[in-house]
Amino acid sequence: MSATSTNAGNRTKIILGLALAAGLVLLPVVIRDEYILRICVRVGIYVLLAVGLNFVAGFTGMLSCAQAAFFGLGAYCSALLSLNLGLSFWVAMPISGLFAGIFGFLLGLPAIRLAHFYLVMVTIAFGEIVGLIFLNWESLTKGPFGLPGIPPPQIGSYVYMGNTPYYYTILVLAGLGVYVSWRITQTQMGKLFIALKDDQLAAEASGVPINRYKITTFTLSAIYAGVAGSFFAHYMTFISPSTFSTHESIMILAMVVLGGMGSIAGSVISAAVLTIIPEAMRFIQDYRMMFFGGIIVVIMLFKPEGLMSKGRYALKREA
Amino acid sequence: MFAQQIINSLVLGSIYTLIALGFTLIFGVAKLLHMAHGGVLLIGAYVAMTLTIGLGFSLAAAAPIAIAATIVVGVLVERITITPLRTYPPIAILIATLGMSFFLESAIENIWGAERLNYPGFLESPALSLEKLQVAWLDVFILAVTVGLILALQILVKKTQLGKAIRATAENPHTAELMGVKTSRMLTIVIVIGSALGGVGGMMMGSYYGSLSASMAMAALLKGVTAVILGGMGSVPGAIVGGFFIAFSENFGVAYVSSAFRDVTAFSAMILILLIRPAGMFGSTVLERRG
Repeated sequence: MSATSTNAGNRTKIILGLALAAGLVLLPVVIRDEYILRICVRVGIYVLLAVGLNFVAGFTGMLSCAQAAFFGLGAYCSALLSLNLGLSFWVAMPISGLFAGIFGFLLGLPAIRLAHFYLVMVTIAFGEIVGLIFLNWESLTKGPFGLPGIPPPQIGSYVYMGNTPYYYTILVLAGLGVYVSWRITQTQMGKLFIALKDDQLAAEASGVPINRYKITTFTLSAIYAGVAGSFFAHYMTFISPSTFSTHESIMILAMVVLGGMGSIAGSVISAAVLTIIPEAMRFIQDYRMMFFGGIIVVIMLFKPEGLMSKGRYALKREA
Repeated sequence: MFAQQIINSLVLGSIYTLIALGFTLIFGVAKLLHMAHGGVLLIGAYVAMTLTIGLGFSLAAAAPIAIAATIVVGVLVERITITPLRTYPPIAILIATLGMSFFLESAIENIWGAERLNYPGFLESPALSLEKLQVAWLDVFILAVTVGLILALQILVKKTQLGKAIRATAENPHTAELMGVKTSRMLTIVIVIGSALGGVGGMMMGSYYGSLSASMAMAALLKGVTAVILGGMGSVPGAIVGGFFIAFSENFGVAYVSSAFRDVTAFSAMILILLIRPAGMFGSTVLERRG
């Protein structure tokens, strides 16, 4: 591809990006329906979770089924900080991100040694253990009853009300998340991430410190989930262990894989699609999850490499 | 108390083993994780329930029909989500079977309802009393059936022509193909065997707990895969050791430590064992780094 056409391509991309950003900013002005805005807020949360998981699954090819656990760790950390210590959302959120990040680092230490099936199961086991702790450490988490009355975020004397302020907050958080993720793909480190996934042996042979980068991706992805969890806790004002299940982790992994592993745009789009579909399918009520499972199967059958995959990230057909 | 724990662990271990054997056979032959196995075997358990409680069938009549139903669902799942994706990296099958597992779980909820249903105990006759020990006939039956099935599987795998073909495919599919083994058919065969064993395990699970719910699909899946990983993926003796290991650690953990963290013991054991032996207790030491 010549330099000029790349520039032209970039310009179109920038214009499209700006149009999209303007659309997203104006959305609550145009659509005043609280129900639709609530779905949009949920989409934002899942974009953050999926783009975060994309570091691990997409960039380095490690399939982690622990994203909901980090999501839960962030949510519980933030909820407990504000309920017990009276910290505001703005203080609790970064702490929760770091808190989840520490666990991501700790899980990353053993995880990097494992081949992918084992990694899937170790991360599921980690998620199950975290879920059981939420459920059984009743003196701290109130077990299955969950934590009610988490205070909404506050700016000065303005307390968040309705979906619009949450929408803008998650828009900024998710936008920032996508931007950071994209910046990383443009750096030396990001190129190493991609090298890792495409050919680990070659990357290792050429001196890439694989383990360090794998642990970094685990930590980063957990931080994203922790921030999403903190936002979720203060948005819902109530959290309980059932939200942070293995099912949820699998759903987030499905978003990354269906979007095309390694494609940030793919993660964003499929996070949106997979959040909206079950909502849009409310009219078929009980058959919603059946339909949803079916869709995952159908997408895999027709586009096993994911919806938005590019050649270099694509799952290649084996000879 | 101690002896009672041992009996309980043996029975629970039998159930886990039957579920794990399906996984390990399928992994051994096709090198893939069949994440819908939990949903498949649960359908067999539900069919048996409908036949016995709903239609008044005897266990002897219901069991073969339920097992046949499990096999049909297992093969359908294989044809839809596994066979078309065989040429892609294993992650495609992993996600497709996970999607299928969502589908099956939700299908079960729609057919039989989302709430927990009472499951027939099948053998309600008085317990066998050995000194102070109470052994339910159901427990004896579960153990006997499991031992019988394990022996039958051993004979099939070790002594028959078909078993030789299965082992050859697991060892090296390309060479097996050259030697005249129809490797694509081997996958269907292990799916049939695995689903049948799983169907039996699912019925036992329902009888043992006395109830059944759709969410047990995920629980069965996790226990089965954990057992397989503990023992070493693709290893038949490994699945047996893994299944009983989980049952013993759970029961003794509950009896002597705390009931709250029953499942934590199995999962922690798995993480620990993988740290020490990244390919499981009986797994080959060659760790595939690229899949």
